[in-house]
Formats: sequence, C-alpha cells, structure tokens
Amino acid sequence: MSGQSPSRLGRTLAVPALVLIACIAGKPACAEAPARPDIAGVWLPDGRRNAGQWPKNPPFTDAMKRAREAWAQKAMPIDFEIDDENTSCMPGTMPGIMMGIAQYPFEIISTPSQVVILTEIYGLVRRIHLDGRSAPPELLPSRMGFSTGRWEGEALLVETTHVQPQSERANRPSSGAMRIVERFTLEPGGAAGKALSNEITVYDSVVYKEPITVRMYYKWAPDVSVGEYLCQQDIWDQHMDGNRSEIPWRK
Amino acid sequence: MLRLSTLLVGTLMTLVGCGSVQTERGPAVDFSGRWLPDPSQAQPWPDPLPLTPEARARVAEFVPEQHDPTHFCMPFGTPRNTLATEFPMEIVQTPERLTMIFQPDLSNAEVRRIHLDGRGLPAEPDAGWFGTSVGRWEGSTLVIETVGIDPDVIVSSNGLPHSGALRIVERLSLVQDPQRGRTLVDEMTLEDPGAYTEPLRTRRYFTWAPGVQFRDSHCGERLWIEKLWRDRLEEHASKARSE
Repeated sequence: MSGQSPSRLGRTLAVPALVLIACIAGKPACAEAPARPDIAGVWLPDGRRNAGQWPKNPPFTDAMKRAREAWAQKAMPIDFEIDDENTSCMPGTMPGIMMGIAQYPFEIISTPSQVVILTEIYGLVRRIHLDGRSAPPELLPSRMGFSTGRWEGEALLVETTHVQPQSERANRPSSGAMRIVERFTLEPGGAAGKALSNEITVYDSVVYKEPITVRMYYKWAPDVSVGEYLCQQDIWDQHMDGNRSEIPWRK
Repeated sequence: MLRLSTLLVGTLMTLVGCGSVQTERGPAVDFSGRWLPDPSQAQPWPDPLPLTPEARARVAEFVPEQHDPTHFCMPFGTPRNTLATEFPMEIVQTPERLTMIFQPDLSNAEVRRIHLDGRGLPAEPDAGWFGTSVGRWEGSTLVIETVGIDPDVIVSSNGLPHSGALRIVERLSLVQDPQRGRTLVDEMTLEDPGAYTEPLRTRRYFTWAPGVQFRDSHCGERLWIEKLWRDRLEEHASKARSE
C-alpha cells in the first residue's frame, strides 16, 4: 500500500499526454494500438451489490435434486467440526471465488499474454491465458480450472473449463461438464472513480436445467494491498506455544 | 535528475512509436515466464556457516517435524521459496512490478511482489512471510532488496534461522547457457548481524521452461485427506468393536 508520489503522478499524466500528441501528429502505430480498458490493480468485492445474486433455489436437474435430498436426509444436521472443508483450510473454487461478498481484496495483473488474478482469501492464483493456447489434453481438473480469454472491444471475455467438480452437498454443486463464461467490463462512477463488472454465466447441464447468469461488481481500491492469508496460522501458533493437542486432526 | 532523464527517454520513445510507451522506465530485461530451478547448479552454503552463537544453537536444536513451518502448512517464506530448488517459479513482469509466483506441490501458492515504481523500503516494515521488496535496474541486472521477514521463516530446510532483522539483496540477470539455454541467475546476499557474523552469499540458476504446468494443490488438501483417513479409520475401528 502506498500513495503516489507527485513525481510519479506527473509522469503518469505526462505519458498519456505525449501519446495524444503523437497520435494527433498522425503516427500510424497509434491507430492500431488497441484501446483496452485498464483492469489492473487491486479490487474489492462490492458486497452490497453482489449479495443474493446467486439464486436461492437454483434450477437443479431432477437427478441433482434427488442427490441433494438423499444427502440431506443422511447427513443433516451438519457437524461443521467434521464436515466443513473450510475448517481444514480448503479454498473455494470457480466460479465461487469471483462471487465474493466479504471484504477480501484481489489483484489483477494484466499483460498482453495473460491476466493473473491473485486473491487475498486463501492466497489463490488464477491465470487467464490470452496467447491463444488451449487446455493440454492430459490436464487434470483444478479449483481454478483452465481459463482462456480475449478482448472484444471494451470487454474481456473469459471461458473456463476443467474445474474440479463439487459434490451434491456443496453450496454450488458442479460437474466436470461445467463451462463458465465471464465478461469483464469497466464502469465509471462510484467513490473510487471506476468499478469492474463481471457478468458470469454458468453452463452445466448435468447440475442445472438452464444456465445461471449473475453480475458481480468490484470496487477499485488503489490504496489497498493484498495481504498474506495464512489459513493454518492458528495451528502453527498453537504449536509454537507448545500446545500441540489443539491441532484437531493430529491428536 | 534521474526522474527527468527517464521522462525524456519516455518522450523520445513515445515519439518513435506508441507501442514503446511501456518501456518508459525499463524494463531493461524481461524475466517473464516459467522457470525451473536447476539443483545441480545451486551454490552450496559456506561450510562452516558464519553463525552467531544464538543462531548456531537454533540450528543444533532444529527438528524438521517440530520446527519446519511447512510441516504445518505454513509457507516456505522468503527467501526459502526462491532458494528451495524443488518447485517451478513463474515471473509476471510489468513496468511497475515483478511478481514471483511459486506453487509447491501439496502446499499453498506463495507470491513475492517486487515493486519497480521507485518507492523506497519502509523504515519499519511489517513482518510477513514473503517480505517487502523493491527493485531497481542496474543496466540489465535487476537489484532486489527485501526486508520485513517474519522471524518464524527459516532460510533452509535444515533450519538455518534469521534474527528477524534479515535484509536480502538479490541480483537477477539473464544468461545464455550453452547447454541449458536461457537461464536466470539469482545471486543472493543475506545480511543479518544478529544471526550471521558475515553476509551469506549464494546463487541459484533457473532454466526457462515455458511448458511447465502448475499443479493446483493446496496444503489444506493434505490436512483434509489426513483427517478423512483418521475419521475413516475410527469408523472402521468402531464398526469392528461393535461386531
């Protein structure tokens, strides 16, 4: 986290001005330079706008409905000490990690060949390949999946496959057939001057009878830095305090 | 004066062609890409290590199962993530930032953020597992300074400690190795009068490996599987008792 020094700000403003002058002078290279929106930087999920977007009763297929009911009869009520993956520090998956409502920032690094998203929560790394590559044939599913993207005018279009399936007991179940399409665009306004919007559509005919579309917003947060998220810190601290018996699964 | 000269260079480049705007203040070299450390070229630590009595005592007491943070799903931390030679590294570089991403198997991702925007190091940095880093160009070498490293971080897998006042200087450069091709060299100096009686120097080599795949593995998965096994074993044991 750091404020901009005046000289840095001066340079930041000076360069676009010079580009403009060069453009007016009729440099042919300028006409070809794509005007891509600058999505780089630190963003905070807009909890107020994002909450409740995912349907309360998603259009589950009949098979998925039966599977969830069977699981609920067998396993409810949930004992979070035993059943909750989060108590074992298991991170979220796509598309859930892009649907944050809590104040955990993420950072976007944008280069011509890839867009990298670094989340604070669970310290996740998501890569969106812009270099035309496709998923290698032997690629295993993962929590982030495999994402490719392309710029279409002002929008970054991203397609994600190979997401590790989530079982019927998950909040958002998914199958190996899930395909996620995201459309990132910048919108002006708000306290910070701009916001990032992400229209997410989930296609998974094994789990959902029809595609689900939600729109998420992220607030620009230039003064926020993405912190270290060490989920197992408590275990380590207890251990360093000589209290090993408190590690629940290492009694 | 330096600022003015970079602005003038930027102006010239802007007038030459709009595509070169990004090179306004470097980068002199593009380190972007995926890299595999080459353990065979890793420079060994000096023997004996120039340690203070306190640091020597900590090394003597070191038991990996008890004292290695990675046994508890904590990070390798800086500089061990860069020195380890066990897992690939990705560098994502923009004019303002060089980002090193490590994804060790069955461990959480680790990210080092190296600011190239001319900011200084904080006088009193917060302690973190990955440190606070700034970099500057010396010709085609990137000089990185890192401070603010949590005292729980160990420097090597055999328990080389630091006092909490560790300062790391790295010199990153690219060389063309006749056998291995495009190679990244990281010359590292560790300064910590509380732990080392003289600066420790070592060197790591990374080979360019654009095809390397990062596995999506999380340390929690290891703990989770361990827990599932324990639950399953208990389930079987209680079933066996009741039968």
